[in-house]
Amino acid sequence: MALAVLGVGAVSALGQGAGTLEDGLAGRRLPAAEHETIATVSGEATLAVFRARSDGLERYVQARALRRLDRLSRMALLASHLALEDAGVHIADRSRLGLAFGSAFGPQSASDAFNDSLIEGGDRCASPTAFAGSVHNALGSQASIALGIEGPCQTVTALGQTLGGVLAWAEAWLARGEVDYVLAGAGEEVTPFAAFCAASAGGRAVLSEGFTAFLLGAGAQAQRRARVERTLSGHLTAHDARRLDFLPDLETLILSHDGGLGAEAAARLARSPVPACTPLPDCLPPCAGFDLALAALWSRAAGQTACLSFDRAARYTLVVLAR
Amino acid sequence: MAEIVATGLGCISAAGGSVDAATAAMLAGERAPRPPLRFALDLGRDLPVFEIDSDLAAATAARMQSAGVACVAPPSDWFRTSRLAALAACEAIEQAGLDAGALRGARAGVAVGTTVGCTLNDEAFYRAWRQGSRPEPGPALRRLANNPALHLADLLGLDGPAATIANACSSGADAIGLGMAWLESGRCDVVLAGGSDELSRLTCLGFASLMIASERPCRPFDLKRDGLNLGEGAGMIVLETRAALERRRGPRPLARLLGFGTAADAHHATAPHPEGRGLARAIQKALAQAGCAAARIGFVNAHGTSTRDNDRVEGRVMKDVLAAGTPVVSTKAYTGHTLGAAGAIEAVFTIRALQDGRLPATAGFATPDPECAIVPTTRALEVEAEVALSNSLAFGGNNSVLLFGRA
Repeated sequence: MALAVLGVGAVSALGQGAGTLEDGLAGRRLPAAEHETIATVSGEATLAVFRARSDGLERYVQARALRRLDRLSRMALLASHLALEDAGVHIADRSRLGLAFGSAFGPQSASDAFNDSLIEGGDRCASPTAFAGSVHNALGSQASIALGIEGPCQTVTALGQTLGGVLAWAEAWLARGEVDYVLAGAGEEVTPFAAFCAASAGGRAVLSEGFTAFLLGAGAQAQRRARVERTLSGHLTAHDARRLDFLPDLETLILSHDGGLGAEAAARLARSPVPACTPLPDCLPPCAGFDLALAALWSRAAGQTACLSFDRAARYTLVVLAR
Repeated sequence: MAEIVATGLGCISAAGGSVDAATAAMLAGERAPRPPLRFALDLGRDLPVFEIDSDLAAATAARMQSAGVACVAPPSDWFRTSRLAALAACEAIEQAGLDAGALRGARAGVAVGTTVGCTLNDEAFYRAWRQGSRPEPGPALRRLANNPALHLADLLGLDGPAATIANACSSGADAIGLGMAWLESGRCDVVLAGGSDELSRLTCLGFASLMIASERPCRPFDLKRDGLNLGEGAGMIVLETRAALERRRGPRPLARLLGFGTAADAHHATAPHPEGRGLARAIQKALAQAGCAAARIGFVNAHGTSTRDNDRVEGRVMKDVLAAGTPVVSTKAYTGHTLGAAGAIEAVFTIRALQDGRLPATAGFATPDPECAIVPTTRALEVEAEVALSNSLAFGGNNSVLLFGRA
């Protein structure tokens, strides 16, 4: 079924709010890069890290309630508030609101803090707070608690197919009439340990963090931002290439920064050239949530737009949007 | 709405290396929690766990060959969680009368719930990094790629949707729910859905820090219960639409998946809502989806962790929802709490009990707790049930239930 994108909220190195992404797309805003010394397996290196700030969260949530929130949960909660604000929808019955978030690595700072508690104090001093916060769904559960969301609440992690899973949940709940709205989102954070892993993994390390959230409704609703017409996710094989053969009908294809894999695949799949762009390389986290946000914003001017995200194993999520 | 059926079941846990073996052991009341063998804990006390001591690599290879999976064995860099998932998947595929070739030609998806299986959380590697050495990145690379649903999709050559659900202790049930959604939407004709989790030192220490891991074998719903025992394992189910099953002239279905309900408490990061509001809503949703009255539920496989909070809240909701005398069992008494796998393993046991008409006793239970408001099974029972419920509750206040019907 089609989904209406009613609101977009973003927290990234470009700033806070959908407008910062629009400005970045238009070249009116540059991301803030911090040059940090990152340990890698071959020694220390000074690399650009694109950090997201969540200091606007106090506008929405009492500071006391934020004390135990990890960094990624703060980003997720702020992006959620921004998406709800952007949509301008008042949702009185929060049992009619669902939540579906995605993250490849989850709340890594809490996970690191739990490991730190063991190293510093031994097995008997493991931190219960860090442990509870280290589960992948902590960001979703913290958002559900803070926003009073009593509908379904799910967390997906599947590298290049994460966004496909998130949108599948939203479609299912809306199609069944189980909820009226779904707060969907995805994001990642960069910790020193995660940076070491990424920088040591070979290839080009993308050290950027942030979270983007969407308020989604059933496609029949008057959508403020865009309409998701179709979502496909899978593993790019000859079988799936046949399923993607409508790509030439698109006006714009937004490709995630994936080391060129997406561009190669698009060229291979398309029967004729597709106007494609890879906007804002590196400053946004490598999660398809941002691709969807950019495509939703782009589609307002360009018409039918898709975002195509890949991981290194050629797993993809393709989302086709219309104005 | 498409009718969705289960055609294959697979399971490995401390209760047994297959569905048949685990079923027999549970009906015989056999269980053997003990301190972990693969790692040590410095807690000044023992924490019994339900650990699988089989040679996983050999078992995986053998079962894959018998299931017609072309790949002889999973790549050596797979974590235990993915190996467990592969073992259970092969058993389920075989029972469904499928093989890897048939799955590759179908619109097939994979959904797997886990907790340990998706974290960038390697203790030795982290410790080396934290202490200033620059460890070789091999473990980091493994962690970055560690995802059981994607591993299974790769192994079986499936190109449909694949998703790992990381929803803490309800992940396995949620993965089955996502598989149901894919089938309902027409995105897939067949889905391999379930959950898998390995025992982890970090997880044991985490539950110990929360003071909810018991030093004794767990006693679900018992007056003197004082915590859970962790376990490991995997449960996988082959789900298909009835139409797809008929097209391929497959075997007789094992059960129907009638409903899936999930709802958040919006209450606390680790404790359930004291009145079980989210669980009650999840059950209502599943019943509504199935068009089924609560009175038709013939038995329940409870979440039943043996913690004070969970069993009190769940028991009260069961008393409110179920007809008087409806049997409630906790099979965690035989598997331990397998976290992201639990919902799937328990779904497998629920389907099997619907088929067999037999429920095990809830091992460890001796004395009713008035706060729980229910008495679980105290001996193996014969049950004539048309519909059965499997409950899963999770950190973060998530509640998910699966409703199965006899085929």
